[in-house]
Amino acid sequence: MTVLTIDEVIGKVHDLPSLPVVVTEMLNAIGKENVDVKTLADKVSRDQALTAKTLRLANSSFYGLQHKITTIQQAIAVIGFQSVRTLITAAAVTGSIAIDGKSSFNFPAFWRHSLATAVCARSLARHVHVDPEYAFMAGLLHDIGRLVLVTCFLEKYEKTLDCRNQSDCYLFEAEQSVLGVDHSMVGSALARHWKFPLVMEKAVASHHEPDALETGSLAAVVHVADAIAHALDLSEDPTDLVPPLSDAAWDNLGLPEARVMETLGETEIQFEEACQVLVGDTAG
Amino acid sequence: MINYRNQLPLEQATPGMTLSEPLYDARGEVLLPQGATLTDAVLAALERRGVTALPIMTGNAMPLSEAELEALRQRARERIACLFRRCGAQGASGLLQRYVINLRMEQPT
Repeated sequence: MTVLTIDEVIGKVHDLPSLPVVVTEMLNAIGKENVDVKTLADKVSRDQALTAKTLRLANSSFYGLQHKITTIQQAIAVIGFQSVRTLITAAAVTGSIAIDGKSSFNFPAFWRHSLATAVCARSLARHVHVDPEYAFMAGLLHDIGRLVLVTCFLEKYEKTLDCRNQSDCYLFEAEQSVLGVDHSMVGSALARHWKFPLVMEKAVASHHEPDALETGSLAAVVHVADAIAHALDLSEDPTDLVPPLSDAAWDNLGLPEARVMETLGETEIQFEEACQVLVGDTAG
Repeated sequence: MINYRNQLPLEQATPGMTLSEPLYDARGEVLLPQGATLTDAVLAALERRGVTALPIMTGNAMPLSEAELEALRQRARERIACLFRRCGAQGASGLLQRYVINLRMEQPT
């Protein structure tokens, strides 16, 4: 069996559906002034499924709100545009890629792990001066390339999963040896296709080798959050493995023991609720 | 650790237990706030007011025996060793493993 070429993979990525236009618009508004928040909120409100999912997430323990939020406009007023933007993006991407055919890929475990990484990255970011909303999104999407590979190259990916199970290696190692590409490269191609901010694209690209590039603290946050999410066993995958943790990335964050313990606890609590909202209908 | 909400009959409630949510009377007034710790005096007062059941954190409604806790700890240690089976115990990976072990030894789930 021949391995995949990068062009072949990128071709498939370009065939994937775009995110709802309003999500791309919101992501492109990051860091810009004079954002027309009202127009964006009105556009989101017209997408009922997206609105419902976003509001359920806003009302979970995530933001510890005293009163229930019932509209996108109200959510922006209470938790801020930036936070609402994260929730809308999370709601949009978790429903964006559908599989056509049968696969032994464990989709619920995939989403559980992605969400656990997102929640953990958000918690870590607060302590190291990284934008928490960026951290959440980058954590949520760090493995998204895997979803592209399994949906676009179903049979080849099945062989990849067999290879992993036989040698009990890391899935990214099996991807490299069977497919010739791995999910971090495919994920960054998708982030480009979806016009995500460059800093997020880089964090997705380098989450398995955070010291290989000058990627800054966001990449280190996602790398460490990925390892913590696996270590807390949140995916419910019996064959799960903690990826090797880069000493440089860990040192880069400089977290004292008490902070790490705080993050471990916070991650477990926030994960359960976010999971009920986001993973329930993407278990596919 | 997640505490599941649980209604415990009043006669089984003991001092030291905490409420998982507020306790309301028939008119919707709060009798005791969430997180309130029960004492003998409070239990007697609740009985006088005709309260029959209380929302109690499962964790302390049914305390585990030391043997059960030790079995949970042992299972947690084995699972952590399994999860870390390929990344080794050196450097940052080893540190993370130690922190997760500490977490599970304090709160075995």
